[in-house]
This record gives sequence, structure tokens and C-alpha cells, in this order.
Amino acid sequence: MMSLTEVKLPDIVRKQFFYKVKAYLSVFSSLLVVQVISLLLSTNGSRMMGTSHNGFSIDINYYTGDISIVLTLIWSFITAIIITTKAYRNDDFVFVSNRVSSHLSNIVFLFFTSVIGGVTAVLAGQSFKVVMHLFLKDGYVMGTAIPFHELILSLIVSVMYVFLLAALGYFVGMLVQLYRWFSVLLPTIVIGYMIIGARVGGEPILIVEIFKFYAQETVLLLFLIKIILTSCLLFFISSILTNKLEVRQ
Amino acid sequence: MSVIECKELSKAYGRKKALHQVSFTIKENTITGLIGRNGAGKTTLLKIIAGFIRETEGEINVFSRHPFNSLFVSANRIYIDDQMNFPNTLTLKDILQSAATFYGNWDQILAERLFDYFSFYPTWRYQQLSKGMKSTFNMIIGLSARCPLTIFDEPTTGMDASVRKDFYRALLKDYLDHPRTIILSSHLLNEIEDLLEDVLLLKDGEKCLYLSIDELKEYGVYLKGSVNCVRDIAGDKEIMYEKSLGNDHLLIGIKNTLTNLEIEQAVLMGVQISPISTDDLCTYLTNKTIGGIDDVFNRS
Repeated sequence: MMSLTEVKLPDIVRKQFFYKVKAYLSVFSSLLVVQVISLLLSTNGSRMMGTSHNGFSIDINYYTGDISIVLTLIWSFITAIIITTKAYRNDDFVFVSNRVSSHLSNIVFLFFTSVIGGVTAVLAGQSFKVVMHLFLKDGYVMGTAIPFHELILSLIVSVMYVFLLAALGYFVGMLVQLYRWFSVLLPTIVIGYMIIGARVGGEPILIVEIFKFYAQETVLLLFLIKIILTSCLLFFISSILTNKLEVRQ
Repeated sequence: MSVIECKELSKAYGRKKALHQVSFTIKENTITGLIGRNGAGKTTLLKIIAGFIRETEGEINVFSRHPFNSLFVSANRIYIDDQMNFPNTLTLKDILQSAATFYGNWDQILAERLFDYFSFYPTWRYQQLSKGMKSTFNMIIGLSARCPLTIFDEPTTGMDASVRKDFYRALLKDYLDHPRTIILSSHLLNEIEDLLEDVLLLKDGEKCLYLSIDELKEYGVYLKGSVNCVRDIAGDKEIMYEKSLGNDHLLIGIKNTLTNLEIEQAVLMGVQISPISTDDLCTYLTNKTIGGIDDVFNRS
């Protein structure tokens, strides 16, 4: 008799995570593309001011690398949706897996991509400033250098935002996998609400409140708690949703 | 010890019944062939055993545990079919190495030897392979994983004749060295009958037969001779197959319940008795009509 192997869940999750890092390499190459595009878009400058007086004219251009963070958030959302699709879910079950290990390894993987995405987005923003220093020879260039502890803070914060978006994407993806018509319904509701909300009350209140809740938190600890709790909740609901699905078709 | 225990297992997809009240037990260290027509429920049954899909009714135990979504069952079985997919970012060598990390009994040397024998290149990608080569590669994984329960669902899809022969031989040799429980589903029973110990025949989602291969070989006989004599011998026995040969001769297949007296009688009447091959037998047993496709064209 061949001996039966007892396996431990954390062990399988670890193996699946390493497999996923290798297997989903395209996730990281798409991040690279996203950030290159964001840098190109940033070179246009975000604001311009000009004034002239007595034959003098002053033009002020603002440049910012923040676009890379915005695009990274979108990238993270889409990446999370993609790994909930059937093809990716079935990939897990080629080797040893059950649903719990599949979810856990996905979450670890998404956290890993969030760290990479968040860190590179912030650093891309910083390197953008350096690059612009070199290119903008015409005129006087003022740059804001951020102190080291603020850099660390912005790294942590952007990683958490990217992770939050990944959790949201995972949730939306699973919802769509379960009920196909959500793929039509969700965008309709969100975009529809934005349009109607903007017309009736000036601003869509719900979205403003959500933005305030997550984006205007000034206490780091509270911010972390908010993000982590929300992400956990989203992942938890996603895993409950999949109880209705077969493991592999 | 039994590895798989199945009691009145049923599976329905919506209203369509894929499996209906199937009961059987598969013993440890046997090679079982799962035979049936297209849509007979072979894949459904294997996926339930593998723990991919949940049964609708009945009871199933694999290694005395309920297989659905079980990590323990998942670690001790491997399920090979032609739907397997590997990411294009990995080379074939990478895939073998990844597989090695998951399975405790994995035999890397066997994997590499088979890999070289079937002339794969380490840097190839899975999605570039032809259908038959994919099947061959899946088979290498299936054999090298050395799982106590190895499930092959139509493993030979797309393989050419010589690779198929190699595969059966490799399976048998590795099985003799490292006995384990193997389930093999296939259409081509005549190719695998030398390999099998037991045969489980499914028909329309129900268990039709579950016999050892030796019993199956003696299960049915052909009677061939003039119409009247053949009808006489057959009596009211169940007829599985019938084919008229010219105007006054007839070939029928019946279940082998002939007594010695009847056999002597048959010889005297000039009726030839010959065994039905297992392959034909399974075809006849799962045919919906006695005459087979001929009935479609027979409008008289």
C-alpha cells in the first residue's frame, strides 16, 4: 500500500502562493506597462498657470507623479477580477488544493502584488520628479523632496489602498462568476448612481462619504484598521459566495 | 481495504440526470476500467471521486472521507484529463518542478526519464504542444505523482498508436513496482483489457456491469448458424445483438448461460458458438437498439 500523505493547510497555501507568483507572471509585466504609461501621461503636467505684467511673463507648470498611483489602483482592481475567472480558478485545482487553500493563496498573492504595486507606484512618482529635473532645463525648477519617514508612510498607505482595491476587485469578480448578470448590473448601478447623484444633489453623497471614510482618515492606525477590516470582510464574503460553486467544472 | 465506496450515488445538472443510483466499491491496489458511451456519466463520476463536484444524493467515501473539497483527498489523488491547463508563463520543466512540490510521493527521476523518452524539450510551453503531446505530458505527471489514487479520464485522447502502447506499458510497469489504485476511463476497451483487473460499465448514468475482466471475457457468446437453429438454441434468453447474414443465416449475441446440454445440441445443429470480445460486449450492452446503427438504415 502506498502511504497516504497528511497535508497541512498552511503548507499547501505556501506552495500555491509560490506557484502563483511563477504562473501569473503576466500580472507583473502588465504593472510595468501601466507605470510606464502613467509616467508618459504625467509629462503633460497636471496644472498650468500663467501671468504677464509689464513685458514679463511667468508660466508655472505643475508636474506630479500621482497618476501612477491611480493607474496602479485600477490595475490592482482588474488583476483581482482576472484571478477570479474560471480559467484561473481551475488552474489551482490541477495540483493539490481545496477551496479554502485556493482563496487563502489568492489573498496572499494579491497582498504580494499590492506591496509591489504600491511601492513601485510611489517610487515611480519619486523618480518622475528626478527625471523631470533633468529634462526641464528651461526655467527654474522647484521640486519637493519628501522626508524619509513620510516616504515610508506614503509607501504603507499606497500599499493599503492598492490592497483594498484588490479586495474589492476579488469580491466583484466572484459576484460576477456566481451571477453572470452582475457584470451588467454593477457598472450600471455605479455609473448610473454617479450620473443621477450628480444631477440631483450636486454630488453623489454615498460616494463622497465613502471617499471621506477611507481617504480622509488622518490617524494611521485607524486608517489601517479600516482598510484591513474592509478587505477581510470583502474576502470573507467572496469565499462564502463560492460555496455555491463547484470546485472545478 | 476499499479505497472508494459509493452508495446510491446520484448527480443531477439541473433537470438532467448525469448519474443515477450508482453503487460500487473499489478495492485497494487495483486497476479499474471505467467504460461507457459518450455522456454515460464517466467524467461526472470521476470528478465526484476526485472531489471537484458535489453529489446530489447518495454517499461517497474516498479513503474513508468525503472527497468534495477535501484537502486530504486532493493530496492523495491525482486527476488527469484533457482539460488540464498550465500557465503559458511556465516551461514544461517548471511545471514538473511545481508538480514535484505538491505531491509527497513524486518521483522526479521517473518524470525526467519519461520526459526524455517522449522527446520533450525543457523550454517548451504547454500551450504550444499538440493535443497528443499534451496528453502525453499529462500522463507523465499522472504517473510520476505516484498518488495512492490515480485517476485517468480518457488519457489517450489524441495520442498516436505507438505512444498509446508505450503509455499502457509504462502504466503497468510502474503499477507493478509501486502498486496503487488506478481508475482508467476509456472508449477503447480492447486496448486496455490486458491492463485491467475490473471493469465498471456505465450506461445512461447507471451502473450496467461491475465485473472482473475474466468474468467479462466469458460474459457473452455469439451463436451463428441458420435462422431456425439459432432461434431454437437462444430460446427466451436475452438477446444483446442481432445481425442477419444473408437470407437464412443469423448471428446473435446472448448472455453466456448455456448449459452443457445446449452446447452439445448447438454443435449437432451446426450452430457455431464463439465468445464475444469484451469491447463488442460493452458496445452491445450499451446500445439502445439491438441492431445498432443498422436499425437506422433498415426501413423495411
